[in-house]
Amino acid sequence: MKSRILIAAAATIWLSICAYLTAQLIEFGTRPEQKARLASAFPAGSKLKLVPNKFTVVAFLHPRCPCSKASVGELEELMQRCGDNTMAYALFLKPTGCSEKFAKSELFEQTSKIKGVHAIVDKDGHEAKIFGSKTSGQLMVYNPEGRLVFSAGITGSRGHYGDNLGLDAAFQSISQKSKNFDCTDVYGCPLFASSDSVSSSRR
Amino acid sequence: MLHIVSGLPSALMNDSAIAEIHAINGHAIFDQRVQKLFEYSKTSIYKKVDKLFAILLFAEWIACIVTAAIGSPRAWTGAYSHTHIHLYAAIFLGGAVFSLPAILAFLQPGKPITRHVVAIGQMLMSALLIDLSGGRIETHFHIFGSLAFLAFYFDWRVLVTASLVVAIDHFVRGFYFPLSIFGTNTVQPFRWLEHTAWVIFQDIFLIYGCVTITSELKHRAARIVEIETSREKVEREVELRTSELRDSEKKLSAQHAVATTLNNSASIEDAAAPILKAINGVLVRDVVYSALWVIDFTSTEIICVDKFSPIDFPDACSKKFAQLVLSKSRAVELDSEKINDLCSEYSFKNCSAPLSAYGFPIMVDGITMGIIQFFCSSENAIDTETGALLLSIGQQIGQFILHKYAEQENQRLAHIVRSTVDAIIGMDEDGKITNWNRGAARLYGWSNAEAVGKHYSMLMNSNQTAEVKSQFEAVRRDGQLENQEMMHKRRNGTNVYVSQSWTVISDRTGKMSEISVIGRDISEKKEAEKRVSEFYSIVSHELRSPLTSIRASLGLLEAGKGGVLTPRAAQLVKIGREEADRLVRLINDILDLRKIEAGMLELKFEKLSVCELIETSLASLKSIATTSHVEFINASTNHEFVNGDRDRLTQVLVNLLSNAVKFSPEDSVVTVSTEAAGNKIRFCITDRGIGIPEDQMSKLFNSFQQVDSSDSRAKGGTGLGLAISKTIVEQHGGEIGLTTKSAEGSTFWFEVPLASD
Repeated sequence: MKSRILIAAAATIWLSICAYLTAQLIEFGTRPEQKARLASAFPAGSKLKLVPNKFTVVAFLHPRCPCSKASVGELEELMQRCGDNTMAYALFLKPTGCSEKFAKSELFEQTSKIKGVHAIVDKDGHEAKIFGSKTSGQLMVYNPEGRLVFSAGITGSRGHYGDNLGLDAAFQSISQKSKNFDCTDVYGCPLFASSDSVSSSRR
Repeated sequence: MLHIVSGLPSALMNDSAIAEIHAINGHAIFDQRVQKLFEYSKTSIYKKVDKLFAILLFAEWIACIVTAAIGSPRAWTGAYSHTHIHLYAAIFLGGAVFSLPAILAFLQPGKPITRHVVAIGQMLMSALLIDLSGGRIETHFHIFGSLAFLAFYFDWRVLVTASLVVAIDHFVRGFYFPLSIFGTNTVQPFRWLEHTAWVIFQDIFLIYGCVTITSELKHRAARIVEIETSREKVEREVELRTSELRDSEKKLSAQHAVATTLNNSASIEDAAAPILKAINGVLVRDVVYSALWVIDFTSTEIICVDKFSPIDFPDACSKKFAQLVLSKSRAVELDSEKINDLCSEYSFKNCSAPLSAYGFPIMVDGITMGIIQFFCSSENAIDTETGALLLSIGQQIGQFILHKYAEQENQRLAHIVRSTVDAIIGMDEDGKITNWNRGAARLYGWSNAEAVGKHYSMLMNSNQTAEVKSQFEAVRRDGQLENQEMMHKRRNGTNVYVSQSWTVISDRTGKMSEISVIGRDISEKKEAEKRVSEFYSIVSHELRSPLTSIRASLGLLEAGKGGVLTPRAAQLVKIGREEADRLVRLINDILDLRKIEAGMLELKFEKLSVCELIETSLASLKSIATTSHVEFINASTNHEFVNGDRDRLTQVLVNLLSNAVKFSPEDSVVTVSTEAAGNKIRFCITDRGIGIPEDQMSKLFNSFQQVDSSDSRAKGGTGLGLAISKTIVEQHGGEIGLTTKSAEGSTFWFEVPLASD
C-alpha cells in the first residue's frame, strides 16, 4: 500500500515536471521575434533587382539559426507551389567580422539548389537593414511592380515544419494577388543584437 | 488443494456425487493452474517489455540529445550565440521523461503502473522528439511506432493510456498553443480529434492483436497445463511403477536369497542365519530382533534354531510369542500394547520396547513346523503383500524341513534296506530288476551291478516259468502276495528255498510303478520241516506199531488169554495196558496235530445226525464215566443234521466230554445239550467242576497247554486235545469256546454248520 502511494506520488510529480518542462518548451517555440519594418515598395537602395513579370520573394535567414532550416523548407514549399512566376532571394546574414564561411553554411548550399531561389550572402546585414528585417525567417513578397504584398514568417513556430498560416498567406498573395502583412509572427533568431551587451559567446 | 467437500459427511454422498465433486475439484485446480501460468506468462512478458522500454527510452533520450546537439545546438543573435533551449530540453526534459519509467522498470517490473508510466513516458518522448526535429512529418511516425512497441505488452489498456496522452497533448496544445501543433492559431475546436482518430485507428488493430495474442497465451497456458498434467500423471505413474518394481525386486531378491540358501543348506540350522539376514531390513523394516523356531517332533518342544539380536532382547519373550503363533497356526501381528501384555514379566530395560511384532507359521499341508518372527522398532514394518510373501517363505522353509526329514527317513530306510539280511528286490512292471540290496546279493550271489537290469526270471529254474507268470498276474491283480515259498536258483547253480512277500508300489496317480519283493532264505526251515516229518514218520511207524502190539498183548493178558493172573500181576498188567492206551492216544494226538499243522488233515464231509453223534460219543465214554462216578445227561432234543466228518466231530465231542468227566467231582453230572445258532448248531458240554481261571482261558486252546499241568497230568491229559478240537471245528467252518464260573463249573461249546437240505 505504502509503495503504491509512493509510486502514485512519484508518478504525479514526474508528470508535473514533464508537463511543466514541455510547456516551457512549447512556450519558447511559440514565442515570436521582432517583425520587419514595413516598406510598401521594393527598396531603391537594395542591390537586389526585381525580376520582370515575376513576383520577387526576399527571405532573410541567419545561416546558423536552427529555425532557418524550417524556414528554408517552407520557402521551398512556397516556390514549388508558385511555379515559374516567382523568383526568390534567400539572404544569408554575414555579420560584421565574420568570414564568408559563416554565411555559406550547409543550409546556404542547400538553399541555393532550390529552383527559383538565389542564395546570397548579405554582408554585414546590409540588405536586411535596407529591407528593415530583424529576424531570421522574415519573408517579403513583391509583385512584379515592386509593391510589397506579403511580409511575415512562414513557419508555425520556431523551427517547426508543416502547414502554417504564413505559408498559405504568402501563396495567396502571389496567386490571388492579395496583400498580407504581419498576418503571422516570425520565428527565428534575431539578425542583429539589440545592444552590444550580449552575454553569449561569439562564434 | 481445493477440497470443496471437506465439510460434508461422505456417507451422505453416493459414488457418482463424489466422482462429480472430484471432477469439479479437478477442473477448478486445472483452471487455477492455467490462470496462474497465464498470469506468469503475462507477467514475464511485462517484465521483459518493461526492461526493453527502459533501454528504448534511454536510447531515445540519447537520440534527443544528439538530435538537439546536431540540429539546434545553439541559438543565435547576429554573430552571437548561446546554447539552444532544445539542448537543455533534450537533456533535462528527456531525462525526466526517461527517469521514472526506467526506475519502475527495474524496481517494479511487471506491475500495471510501470507499463502505464512507460506508455506515458514513451509518448512524451515522442512529443519531445517531434519538437526537437522541428515537427517533421517523419518523426510523427515515432508515435505510431511507439504504439506498436507498446503493443508488445499484449495489454490493450497500455495502448489506451498512450493514446490518451496523444489526445490530451493535442487537446491541450490545440487549446493553448494551436500554432505549435496545427501551424495556425485559428483551428476548429475538434481538430485534435482528427489527429487522435488516426491513433485510434491504429489502436483498433493493435488492441485486436493484443486481445488475440492474450487469448492465444491463455490457450497456450491451457495446453502447457494439459501437458504438465499429463507429464505429472506419467511421472507419478512411472514413479509408482518404479517403486513397485523396486519393491518387487527387493522381495524377489530376498525370496531368491532364501530359496538359494535352502537349496544349498544341509539342514535348517545351516539355513536359519542366512534366511534371517536376507529378510531383515529388506522385507521387514527396523528389525530389532528376529528368530526362527522349529518344532522338535520327538519332544514336541519348540526350539530356537537361530536368532538375530543386535540388542539385549529377552529371549523368553520371543519364545512366548513363538508359542502364541504356534497355538494360532496363522500369522500374528502385535502392536506395542499387545507386546507389553505378552511380555509383561520380561524387562526391556536394556533395550527400548519394540513397537510391533510379526510371527509367521512355517507350515506345510496345514501342519505347523516352526515359526519365523520379527520384533521391530517401528509400527507397520510389514505391509500386506510382504506378509503374504513371508507366509510363502514360511511354506518354503516348511517344505525344506519336510524334505530334510524325508531325506533322513529315506537314508535310515535305505540303511535298513541295505543292511537287512532279507533280500529286497525292486522290479518294474515287466519284471526287470531295478533294485538289488546286499541281502539279495548275499542270498543269490549276484552283485547289485550284475543283477540290476536283468529279468527276475534269472532266479528261476526253467521249469518254473508258469509259476513266475502266475505270481506276476496275482500281484498285479491283488496288489500283494504274502509268504510265497519258492525254490530259487543261485548264481552258483545251487537251489535255495525262499519265502517271499510281493507288494505293488504305486505312483501318485495310483498306477503301478514298481514291484517290491522281500525274500528270506528258508532252506534251514525246510530242512527242519523235513526232519520233523521224518520224526513223525518214525513215531508213526517205528513207535506206534510196536506200541500197538504191546497194548494188544497186555489186553490179552488182562483178559486172561495168557492164563489166570495173580491179583498182583493183573493189577500190574492193567497199569501197563492203561499207560499203553495213554501213550497211543498221545501219539495219535501228536500225529493229528502234525497233520493239522502240515495242512494234511483231510475231512470227509457227510450229513450227520446230531442225536447220533451225541449218543455215539456218550456210549464210548460210558465206562470212564462209570469209573469216575459221573453221570452223563443228554439234554439234547435236536434231531437236525450237520455237515461234517463223523470221526472228527465225534473226536471233538469225546474230547470235551472226557475232559468234563476228568475235571468233575464224583457223583456229579455232565450235561450235553444243543441249541440253534443261526444256520449253525451249538453243542454244549457242562460240568460241575472247579471252573477255569480267567487268565488261563485265552491259552487253553493252544498246543500242550493245560490249566494246571500237575492236575491234568494226574487226570491223564496230553494238553493237545483242545488245540486239535479247535482246529477241527474251525476246519468245519465253526467256532469253539467256553464259559466258566469259578467253583460252579464250565461249559465248553462248539458250533458247526447245519447240513443243507
